[in-house]
Amino acid sequence: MILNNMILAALPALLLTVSLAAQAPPSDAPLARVERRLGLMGTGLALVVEAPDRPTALAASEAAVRALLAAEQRLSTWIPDSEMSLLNAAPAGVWHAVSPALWADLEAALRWSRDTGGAFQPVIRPLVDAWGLRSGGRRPSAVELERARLLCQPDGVEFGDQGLRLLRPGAGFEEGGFGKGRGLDLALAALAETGASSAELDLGGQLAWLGDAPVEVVIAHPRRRDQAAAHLLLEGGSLATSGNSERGILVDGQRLGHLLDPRSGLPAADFGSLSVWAPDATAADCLSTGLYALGADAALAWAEAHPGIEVLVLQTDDQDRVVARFSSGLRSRIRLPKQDH
Amino acid sequence: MLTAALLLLVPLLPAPSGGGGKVFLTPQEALDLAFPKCAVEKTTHYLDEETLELAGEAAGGEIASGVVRAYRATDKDGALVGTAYFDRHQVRTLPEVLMVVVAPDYEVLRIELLSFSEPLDYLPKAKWYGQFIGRSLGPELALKKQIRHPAGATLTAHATTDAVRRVLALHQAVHGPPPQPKAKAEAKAEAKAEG
Repeated sequence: MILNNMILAALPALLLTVSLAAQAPPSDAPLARVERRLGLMGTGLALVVEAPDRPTALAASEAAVRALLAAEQRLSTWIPDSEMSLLNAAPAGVWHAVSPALWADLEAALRWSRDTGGAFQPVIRPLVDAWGLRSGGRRPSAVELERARLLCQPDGVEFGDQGLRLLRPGAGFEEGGFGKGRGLDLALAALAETGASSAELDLGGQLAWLGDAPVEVVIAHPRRRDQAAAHLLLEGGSLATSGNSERGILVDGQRLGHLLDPRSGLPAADFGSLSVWAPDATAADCLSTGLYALGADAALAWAEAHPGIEVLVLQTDDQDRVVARFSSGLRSRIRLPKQDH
Repeated sequence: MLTAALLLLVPLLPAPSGGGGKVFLTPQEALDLAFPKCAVEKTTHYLDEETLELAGEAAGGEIASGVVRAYRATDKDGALVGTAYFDRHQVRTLPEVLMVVVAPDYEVLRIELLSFSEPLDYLPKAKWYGQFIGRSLGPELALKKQIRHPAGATLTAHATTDAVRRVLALHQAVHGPPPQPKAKAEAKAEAKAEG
């Protein structure tokens, strides 16, 4: 039996995880275990890989790292000649040939845009620029904001035999809401292909697991991140959390969240944090962003209508007290600590 | 000013001495993973006092040893992929070993934690390490500048940032000044074309 009590503090969102996985190997032979921690994708990766022997575990861990690096090279719009940067720079309305990998990345992300009614939107670069999220923050004029919002519509992308095309001049993809999740899914696939028996990955706070060993995850208080606000018992899949505690912009002395609602063009209302547990990491990543933009009530209703996807909302009040609300599938999986006040 | 307990010349991992420390990878494992299908040449450089002092000034702290061991990785066509260094330093009272890989354009290509002997709750979150990727040596490569201060883990954050600066400074001391912007762009393009 393997006991993993590694602390994997996490995400822009407040995850502090304590994994207590206990998994019996298929035979009496002990599995080899490799743990790594390295900088990656402008963030960092902590991973634990188990395999029948150490060379296999090492090779599998590096296959995961390489899958993440490949996803970054393809998706990062911080890289001027990444495939997605080139797509963004292509003339509007003109078909642009893309690799099967990028096609699959964007198709996966756009699926969640449709399923959330546009609350999650990968074609959101004009709004990101309008609010200056990559340059310290600014407040756009009403005209500028409306122009940017109109460029970020779900119907602004077409897939065709000749590739993809963005229909509106100035529109562009932004990987922030789906890149990590997509990379994690590809890393998990690489781990499976290279013989890993099980794995746990923490990429900048988003967690993903190969295998379905039970894991206890601690979700941190949205504002006091060193405090546990909820414990979740999960098996497999991926957990992503969105919130504004670690990132945000200061505009005219006012602190604004970095999570934008593409439907209004405005920063999403700050209510605390929202965690999504989903079967795959792309879904968890896209939905933690999109459902945060929907707001707590609508997010929980959305989860009830989508079996297999669970949502935990931690709402804070003026005195930093936390109210935990969650979809019905988490009822038997959640434990809430007593609050001090 | 921190005095580095620099042991770039010692590619051996100490066993963590209690306190919940951990060995993640051996240096050889880390090299094999960072440079698959590459030839890795180990070179040892002996810096004279003046060069060592200049390197220390560039690093922002005294460097204890002028013996530098570098691991230079080239691909099948002989093109440089990166140069790895192992930096062993003290965090509070116990050592940490990092591997820092310097790209041909002198930017940080990879940073990986190999062993950590202090209690693991001294470690910053994994995502903190990502801030070093793509950075080059300069005054901005510092905590509260390009590198955000992590919540907690202050000693490790200082030790890690100092280590990265030290490695980059020693790389320059050994290999000369960094390539100019045009040469850097060419080096990047070449590295990308290679693979």
